[in-house]
Amino acid sequence: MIEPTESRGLAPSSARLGRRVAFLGALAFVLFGFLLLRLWYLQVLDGDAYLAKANNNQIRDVAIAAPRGRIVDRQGRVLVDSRPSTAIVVLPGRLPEDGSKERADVSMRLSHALGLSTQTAPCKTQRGFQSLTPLGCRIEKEASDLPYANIIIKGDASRSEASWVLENRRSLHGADVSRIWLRSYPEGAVGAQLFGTVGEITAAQVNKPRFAGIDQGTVIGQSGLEYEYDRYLRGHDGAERIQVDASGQARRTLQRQNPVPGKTLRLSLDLGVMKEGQAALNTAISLGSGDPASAAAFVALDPRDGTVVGLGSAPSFDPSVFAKPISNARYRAMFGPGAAYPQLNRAIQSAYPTGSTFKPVTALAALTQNAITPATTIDDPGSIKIGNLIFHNAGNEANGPVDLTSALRVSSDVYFYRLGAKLNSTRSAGGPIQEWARKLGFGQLTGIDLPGEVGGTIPTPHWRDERKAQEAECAKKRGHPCGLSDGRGWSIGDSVNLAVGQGDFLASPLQLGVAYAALVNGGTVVQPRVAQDVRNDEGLVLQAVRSAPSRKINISTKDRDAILEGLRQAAMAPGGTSADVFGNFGRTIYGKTGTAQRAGQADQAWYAAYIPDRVRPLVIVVTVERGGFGAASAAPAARLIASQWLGVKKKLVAGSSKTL
Amino acid sequence: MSAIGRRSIEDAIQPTRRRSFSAPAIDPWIILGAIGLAVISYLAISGATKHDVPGNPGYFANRQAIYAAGGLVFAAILTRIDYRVFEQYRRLVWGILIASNLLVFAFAANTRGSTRWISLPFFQLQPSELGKVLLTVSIAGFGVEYARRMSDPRTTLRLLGIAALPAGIVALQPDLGTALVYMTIGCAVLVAGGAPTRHLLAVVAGALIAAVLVLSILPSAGVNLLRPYQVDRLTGFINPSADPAKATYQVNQSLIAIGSGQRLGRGTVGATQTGLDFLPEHHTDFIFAVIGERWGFVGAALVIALYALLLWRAVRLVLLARDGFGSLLCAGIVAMLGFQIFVNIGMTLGIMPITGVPLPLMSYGGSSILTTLMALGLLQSVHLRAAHPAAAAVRTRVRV
Repeated sequence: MIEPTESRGLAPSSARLGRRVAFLGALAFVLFGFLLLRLWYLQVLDGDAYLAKANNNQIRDVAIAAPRGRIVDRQGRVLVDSRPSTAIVVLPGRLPEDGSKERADVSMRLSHALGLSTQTAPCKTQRGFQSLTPLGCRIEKEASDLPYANIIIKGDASRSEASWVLENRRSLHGADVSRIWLRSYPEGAVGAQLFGTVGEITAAQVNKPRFAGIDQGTVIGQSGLEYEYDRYLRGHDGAERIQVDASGQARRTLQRQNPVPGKTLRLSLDLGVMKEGQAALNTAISLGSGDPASAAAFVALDPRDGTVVGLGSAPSFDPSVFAKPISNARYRAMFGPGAAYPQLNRAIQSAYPTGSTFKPVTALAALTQNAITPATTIDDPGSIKIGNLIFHNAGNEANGPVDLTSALRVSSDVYFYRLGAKLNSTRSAGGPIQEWARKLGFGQLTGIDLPGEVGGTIPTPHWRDERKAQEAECAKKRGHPCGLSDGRGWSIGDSVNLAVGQGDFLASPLQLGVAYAALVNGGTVVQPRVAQDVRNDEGLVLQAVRSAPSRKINISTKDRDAILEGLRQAAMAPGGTSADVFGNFGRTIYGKTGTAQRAGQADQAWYAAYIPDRVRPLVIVVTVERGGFGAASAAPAARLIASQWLGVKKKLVAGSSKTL
Repeated sequence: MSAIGRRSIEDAIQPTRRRSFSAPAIDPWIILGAIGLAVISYLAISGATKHDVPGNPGYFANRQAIYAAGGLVFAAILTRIDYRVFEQYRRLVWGILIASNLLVFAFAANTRGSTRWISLPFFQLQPSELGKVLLTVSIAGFGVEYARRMSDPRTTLRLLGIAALPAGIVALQPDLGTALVYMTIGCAVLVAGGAPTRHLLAVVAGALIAAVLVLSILPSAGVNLLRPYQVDRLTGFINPSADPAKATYQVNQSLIAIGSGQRLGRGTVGATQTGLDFLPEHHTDFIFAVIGERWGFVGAALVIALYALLLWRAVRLVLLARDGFGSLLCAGIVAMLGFQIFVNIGMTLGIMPITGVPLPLMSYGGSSILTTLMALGLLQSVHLRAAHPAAAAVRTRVRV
């Protein structure tokens, strides 16, 4: 063993050492006391708060998106579906502090990784202007509008984008990957306006009673059927309480509430008719004789109960473009005036003069007023002078003496001008034509189960006066004419124009369809319906969609038969306005052409047809903006749709009749 | 056998009086404290690191147990050796301290930006840890040798220099925490060695000036002695929630872990801060937070009490040591343990900066536990030879 050397030091136990050791001991005692006090403070006094923080650390409540219900046609064929997608999202509540450099950093790194613009520009935020990327600016705006909603940065994110976010989650505070559902449209642009689009509930909608109880960030129907039947189609999001570790990785599920998918909405629509209708509209547009025909619409409905079998508007669009954020410029290019507003559902949201397709209404009014009988003949010399105005047939063609049936067959304008003059009334509500127009559903909403329907206009003396007053007020306010009215009161010429569906008269294609349905079914004014029922996953009907009771009006069988005979001959008999379209159709069909003159643009083509059938009768209305004569573009489209419905060979036959 | 030889002399001088006191022996309280802390360490580490090494839940805990067992052997050997033999080797010991820490730069493997380890086949030796004991021995030796010249300011400066040189080397590794431990040991030896009070006040003033210089004045002049993260850590504790992403993230998580332990703790399964890795360095620097979360105030306070027991026994030995060397040795060890305990626990409680100082006997790490147990072995060696008022009396007579 090593021998110790004798210490040369002082004896340690001096008084000074004692004092110093005592001092150090006291110091240590005080310091340890500090530790214990601090420990007591943290664990006993503040323990609850820290426990809450610990739980907040490890517990995440994650919403599990519920898929929206499918929309299917009458045979269950899928029209609108839901598909899962991976989205990159930002959770505003977990972003770094407002206005911090780290916060701007998150959006910059996301922009970079997702291939978005990294160009920064001043952006107005709650904290004043900040230099941010376009994505950063969007995040700030949405976070201030709807602070509790996840902001979807990118839907349909690629696998590598998603894994990049997951790997960097620790430093990318607020960013995450989420499974969302997107709408898919197997039929593309077919029926796009009818089905409508979905989107997250907006800041403006969140406080509306209609959307009460819907959480921020929920996807709801924004237009069309998606909007109308949102409460059935929208599922209930589920929620999951998961335990995560420090890297944000889920360790286990603590609680789970499964999402409830939306219900299936079954429509009365027929996919075949929808597709054929959309194609026919595009064909009709290409057939249009005027300026480039720009738009068209069709309605096909069962005249017995208003069940809509087909309804379409062209141009259409592929609704799946809304799955991704769309820039304002791109939106304008795709959906603005240059693209003829494809989101407009022209079958229900546009009102036009209907031209000669209105003549059966005038005929009904005249017959019930006993102003004429079916046998009454009127000489048609090609033009007529009423008051001090001369009204012409199209092309001044003289038809000679015509009775009701032949007047409808050849679409004699003079015949109906005369009726218009005869039935004119200066009463504020107008005369029998207005009365019958109202009875048949013009000038009011049809009540179809779609949002945004327009009611059209039935001109009356009262309406004219009202417009005149509005114009005067407006002109006074603005200091220049507003174009609401020409300032004229009601005159007989207005009645003459109304008799042939011209002048101030406006109706939507759907309204015309409803009026024809009432005519052919003997007076039942139906409420059209697109949806049939709501079903669960197993196909069990949960709720049938009922239409409001239809109105019944009195149409005598004699009058009805006289008019229908005129319509049958117009479509099928030699000399009929659409006989060259339907003459060889092989099935009985009733049809009326219309060519509406519109101020400042080419004529609008119309065709209203009725296919009688004991099992599946159908009323079809087609209109083509700037389509020229009804027989030239609208009637051929109607024939294509009718062929599809009847299952006969489709053939495009354009007519040449130049009647109004 | 010197110890036996000495005992027989004592027996010869005071045969009757000796019997009225217990035999000179090792201090059972130190053993109790050390074993208690080591057991708690084992339990805490085994709970916290269960999932850290896939397929081997006991990886860290078993190693810690082996280190502790090894350390106990070293402690037993040091207990047996008369500490006084080291006094004459103080220059050699200091040389080893400097050389081993320089060696790190040549041989060390890089770990997390710091160069602190020398890889041995079975062990990663951290010379700066071992250096705590080496420095204590060499500086105590110096203190004893210059005891009569303590009033000379040059003595104080030399003594501080003996601590400062290795501290500087260690700070470059970079291991700021251990450097501060070295300086604290130096100061403790100054205090216990009898340096005039004015010198001590000057040292305190100098330390304050140095801190202000390094943290505030020099950086504003463009001279950065510390790395940015070190500054963040040192100053971050003043406002821990300022930036959860960076340096203070650790402290915040530590506070949450400890606070959520409440009175009785959350148990092993419920300790989510530890179990889900929110708590960083859960088996090394922040092990106290693991204890606080798992066993609550009761467990954490027990640990603090055990440390208090160890320190009390060590402080007592400063006064009871047979000679100046033993006394200064004990003073250095008190400073070394006390500083680490206070700074580490204070750090986990958010009242001290993050300096990377391990918690003696508790933090996972062979070098640290070995060093601490060696220090305790030295304490026992001092105790064995001078632990009793009786022995003190005997010694006085012998001297006289």
